[in-house]
Amino acid sequence: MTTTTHASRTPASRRLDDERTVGDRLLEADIAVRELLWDAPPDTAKAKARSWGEVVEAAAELWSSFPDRTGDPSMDRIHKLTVGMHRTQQRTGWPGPGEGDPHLERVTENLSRATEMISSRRHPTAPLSELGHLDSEAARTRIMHVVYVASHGVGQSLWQYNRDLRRLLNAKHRLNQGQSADQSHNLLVRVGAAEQLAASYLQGRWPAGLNGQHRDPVEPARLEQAVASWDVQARRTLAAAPTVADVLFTVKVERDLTLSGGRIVAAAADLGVVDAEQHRQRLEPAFAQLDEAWGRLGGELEQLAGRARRVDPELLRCGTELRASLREISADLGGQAGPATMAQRADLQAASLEVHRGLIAAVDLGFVLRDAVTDPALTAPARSAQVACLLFADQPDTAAWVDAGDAYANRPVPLPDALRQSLSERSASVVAAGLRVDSAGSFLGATRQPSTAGPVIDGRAHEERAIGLPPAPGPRYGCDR
Amino acid sequence: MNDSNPGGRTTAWMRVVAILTLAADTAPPRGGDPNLHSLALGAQIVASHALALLPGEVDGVLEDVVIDVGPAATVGDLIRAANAAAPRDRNGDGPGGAVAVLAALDALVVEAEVVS
Repeated sequence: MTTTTHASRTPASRRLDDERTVGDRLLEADIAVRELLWDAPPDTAKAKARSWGEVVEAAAELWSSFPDRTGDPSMDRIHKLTVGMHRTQQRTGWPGPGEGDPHLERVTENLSRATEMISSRRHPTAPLSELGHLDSEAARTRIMHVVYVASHGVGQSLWQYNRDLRRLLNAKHRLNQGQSADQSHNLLVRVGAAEQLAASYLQGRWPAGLNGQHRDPVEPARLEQAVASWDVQARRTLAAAPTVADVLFTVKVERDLTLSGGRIVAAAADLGVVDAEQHRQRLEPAFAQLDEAWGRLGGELEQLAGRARRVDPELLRCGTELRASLREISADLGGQAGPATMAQRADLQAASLEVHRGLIAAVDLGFVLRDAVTDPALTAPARSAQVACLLFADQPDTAAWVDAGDAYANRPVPLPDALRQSLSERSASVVAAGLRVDSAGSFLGATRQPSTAGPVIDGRAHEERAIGLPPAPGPRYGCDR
Repeated sequence: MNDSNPGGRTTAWMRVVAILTLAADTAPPRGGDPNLHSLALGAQIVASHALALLPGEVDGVLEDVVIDVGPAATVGDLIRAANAAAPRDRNGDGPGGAVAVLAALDALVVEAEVVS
């Protein structure tokens, strides 16, 4: 239901361009009504009073345009309350004719369009599948939230308007034409009652009820693009002038790729899409090792970064997209998707390959990270550096880690050498674990390109010219003497 | 961002950033539920977006923000606490970015409801 895309009463030119779904329309209505809360001065109260009834009318129409198994009367009660209010407005002439509120008009337009889109496709009494029912409950939750927030915003504006009029009335004993303290107060009471009704409906439903919303099938190339964009951007940011926040964010996203991506590969193995034995014997332990390596590096960086983590906006955008593309496959209506659900949503073989490609980039990224954390230009807030040193490095005998003045003002300071060394070792662990994932996941089909960020081997050093011998195999089962 | 109300809108956003940052750091150093890790990363993303709403001068004093959450709070508890602390009512000027951050925070609360 929330994916229905259709247009009927809009001009043909707009109809062709407008591919927004019912879900998009509901979300836009929700965003517009939130903006109302930021824009509620008392001089807009009359405009809001004119538009509020239309919002409820549009919400009630949308509510009744699709089947309802539960038969909850909340929206009907709010609607009746609004009809009564409308009659009173006509009888008393307040707030009278005039402009409406632009935010609420946007809400009404979106709700009305959603009604048109559903009505043209579905009869309101047609039976719903279980998934359809969950989708409809999600839509009702969103609609009621729109009414709730609209009522709150209108009520807030009316309260201020009424307060100002009472003050004026007390001071001058009269009001200008078109102003009415009594009528605005009556409306305030009714809007408050509607807000209470909406709130009681949402109790226990918001936001959990939104989970049932239908989701479109996964875009096949999304994960591939997200992994590639993330890889490029992470290198770009870390190679420029990264902050500790950038480095930490990179580590957190890589760890998410290891864990959430690991679930996708595990699902593929579970269904036999990829070699289950290779996965269990080699790749799963390698994933666990990489997770631990990222976790340890991240733990130190968390202490070092403090709370003010201003991340490079492009890095933030690419990391957000990578997380979303992983969740699109690995998370579902009930939270964590099972292997069968994941297989319905995506080609698990292709997704596993992309995850593996992303993870073996950890090898090169580990070298780039090592360069970033050992860069003398990298600074951290003094207090955070002090805490990190106390936790992760041995206290020097002769001097404090951080100058007392810097710590007091929490100025950015270069990382103490001991901490730099510790972070460098953690980065080396990431490289080692990434190499193991690279090797263990070779059955998936991805291979790592040699890095330019790693140590350059030009054959001039003595050890580079030595003939390398593989280590002798250790004793195995059946080889004991 | 202007700070016209006495309660301090900036202070409220700083509290949101502080709580979300704490939520972002709740993931254990090894193993654990991938969903919780993903949720913690989500908290970091929203925290960074929220911080971008604030002027750079707040960075130095962000560490001093006191947050009222129990020591046993889970990542879901912290995200809900951040949602409750987020300033939602405002008269007058309205920063556009804040609406997007609030929507992202709402989406994160939905994820937290499912996970916890």
